[in-house]
Amino acid sequence: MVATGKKHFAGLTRYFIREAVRWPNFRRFFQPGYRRNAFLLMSLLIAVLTFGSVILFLVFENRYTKTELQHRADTLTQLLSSTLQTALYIRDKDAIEREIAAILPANDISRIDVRLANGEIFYEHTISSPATTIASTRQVSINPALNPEEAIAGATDLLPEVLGLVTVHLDPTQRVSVYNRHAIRVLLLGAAVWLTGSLFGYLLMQRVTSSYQRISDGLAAIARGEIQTITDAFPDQEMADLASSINNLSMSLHFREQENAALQKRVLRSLEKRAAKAEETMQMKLAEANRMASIGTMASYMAHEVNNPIGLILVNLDLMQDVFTDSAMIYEEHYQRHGNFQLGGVEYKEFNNDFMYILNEMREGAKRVRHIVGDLKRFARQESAEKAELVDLNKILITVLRLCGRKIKVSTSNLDIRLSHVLPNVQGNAQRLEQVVVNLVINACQALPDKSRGIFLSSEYAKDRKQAVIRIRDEGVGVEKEKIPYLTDPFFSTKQNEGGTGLGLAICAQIIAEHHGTLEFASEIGKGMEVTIRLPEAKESI
Amino acid sequence: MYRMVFFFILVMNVAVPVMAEELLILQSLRTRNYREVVKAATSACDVSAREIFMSEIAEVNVPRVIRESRAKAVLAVGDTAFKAAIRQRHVPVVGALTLEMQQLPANAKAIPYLASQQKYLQTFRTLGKKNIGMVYDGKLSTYVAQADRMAKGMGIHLELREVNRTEQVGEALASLQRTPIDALWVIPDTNVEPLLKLAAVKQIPAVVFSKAYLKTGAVLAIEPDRTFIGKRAGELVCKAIIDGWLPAQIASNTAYITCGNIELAQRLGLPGALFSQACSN
Repeated sequence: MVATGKKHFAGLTRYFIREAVRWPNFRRFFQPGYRRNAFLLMSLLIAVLTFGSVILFLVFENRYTKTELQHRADTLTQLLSSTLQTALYIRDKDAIEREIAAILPANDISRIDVRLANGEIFYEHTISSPATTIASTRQVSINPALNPEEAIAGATDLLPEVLGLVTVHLDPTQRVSVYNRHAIRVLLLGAAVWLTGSLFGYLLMQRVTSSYQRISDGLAAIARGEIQTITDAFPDQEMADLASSINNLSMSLHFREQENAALQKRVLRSLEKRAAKAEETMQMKLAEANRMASIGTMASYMAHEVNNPIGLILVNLDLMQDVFTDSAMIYEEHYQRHGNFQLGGVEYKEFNNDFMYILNEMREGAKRVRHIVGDLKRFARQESAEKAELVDLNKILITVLRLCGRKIKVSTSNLDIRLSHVLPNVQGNAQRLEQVVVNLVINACQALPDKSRGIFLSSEYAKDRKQAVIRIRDEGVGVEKEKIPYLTDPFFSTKQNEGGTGLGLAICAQIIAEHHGTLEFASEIGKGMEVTIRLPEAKESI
Repeated sequence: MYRMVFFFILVMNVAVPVMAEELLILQSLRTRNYREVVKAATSACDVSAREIFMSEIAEVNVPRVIRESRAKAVLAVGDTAFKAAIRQRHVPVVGALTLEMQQLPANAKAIPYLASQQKYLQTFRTLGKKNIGMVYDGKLSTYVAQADRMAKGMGIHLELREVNRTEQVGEALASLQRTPIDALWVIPDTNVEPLLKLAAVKQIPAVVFSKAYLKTGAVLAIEPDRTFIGKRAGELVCKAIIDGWLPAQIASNTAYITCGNIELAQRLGLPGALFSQACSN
């Protein structure tokens, strides 16, 4: 069992080393990435630890060498200070030489000085003269004898008497040389440890990251759009689980992509349909616009052609009424004398009763035609709002109230007016804008079923949009929501029965559009309607 | 009030002389050795005494102190005390544990401290040493001259080096270093320690006068018996107090304690019989 395990381990080791030293793997390992960074960091760490330890060791070794030399010098001076006491006391150079000769076999001594207490060199022995030496100096002192009286008295307090100084100089060359050789060996050992550690780090990093690398490669392939599964065998269960999860994820992504493609197709088709519909609507609108333009042109022509005959009719109707009034007495006398007679196939009595009524109907009809023609002319007239002037909408509202005062008074007893004090001026044509407001106010009056229902006029400043706003709200019958989009279409009228031409709101919308504004409608059946005019704030330069 | 003051002054003038001690004990230091001597002296001569330690008083005018003490005798213990005490000539002074023995004034006598020359020379002979080196102060020249005479009679040669100044010590020691001597006789001098070092260098025994040097290289000490010295000093003090004078001659010291450094003696190959006595004090 153990042998099998060892064999397996050896085989695995050989495999990883073989894989690690393959040039492509080696080259790939050192490409920029987390593996290279981790390896470099680890190698740096090993280098710092190794060489830091080596340097610390060498520093301590150096200090120890110096300390040891100093200690040796101290020991020698201590020895000499003891052995030279008597010889120095009796100033016997021979005795000093004998004492020094006893310690000279120590081959690192370079010089020994013996000085007297006054500093004068008494004895000197030089063996070598190195550039630097480790020196130690010690006093040679002698315990003064108890003087006889003290000895006899039994006193003991004594101070040593300094006889001189002995200095031993040690030659550190040999020790330094040993230290240097030692330092080189330790540095080489440190380098070897660093290289070995880095090599093991490389192998370990290869071993640890090979599974990640294969998974990373698989993910990169998936990212490139290659739907493939990671099929390598992974020695670690965790990596195998991860690869399995990634495979599942990849397949799931593949299915999702297919679903997305189908969905995109459906969406595209739907969009195409909508676009076609929108294009159709646009074409219809364009056609409508063309139609409206044609109607305008035609209306302008008709107005011109119809206006004169209508004028003639109205004038002649007045003449006819005058003629009939003037001839009425003659007809009456004739009737009194001759009884009823025929006029135009109608009996005079009946004719007399209805003729004025007929004339009035004819006049009203003609006036109506002239009115329609007038509206058509105004609708067709491309009078521009470029006739720019600064217009105060509050003043417009006040003017309109004055103009429509009678109509309003007849329509409602509940009029509410709220004007803003900060309303900015707008740029435009005051008369045209008055025309819009008058139209809307009259519409509001006409919408009220009785006088108890109110009309609410207000102006305000929409500061965020830089717009001046007028709201005209009535508590009238209202308009169905479905009809609201068509309110500004020409000839669309909710008051066909009341004689509406369907041009009023179209003209209003046109005028507001010319002023770069908007006309908004909000209505609910039975509760009334609110019309909002929004006009841009005039530029200060105007 | 005036009467009371007068009476007080009268009493003081009459009573103070009556109250004065008969003996003034003047000591150089306050040590155990001196105390032993003083104790033996006061045992032998039971008189009223006053002790003064020179190391503890500010007054340096010792003759004045002695005069004002009105003592009938002075016991001076130690060299310093003895030298100070003999500066006056009126009161008898007995010296103990002092080395001052020559040219003393008539009112002063000192109990000899050193053992007799005979004792030392016999000791050297016992040790088998015949060439004895000695460095000595000129003050002890009488003692040394007697020793030299005695030595010649005993077949012993003394290598003598007289030293009167400190500068001469080194030369004397260097001379002895070169001289073939087989023992050193160390008598009181200010250069005992170099002599002991010389003995150590030459591997020869040094015989000293105080056992204090046994720790610093002496092999044998012949030290006087302090009780004996104190007793003799007490007898002399009593004689001086009673008779008012001191004897012209004083016998040599005869009681000694011989004490040795047995370990050093063995190293030097000396006979052990001399060192059988224990150094108890």
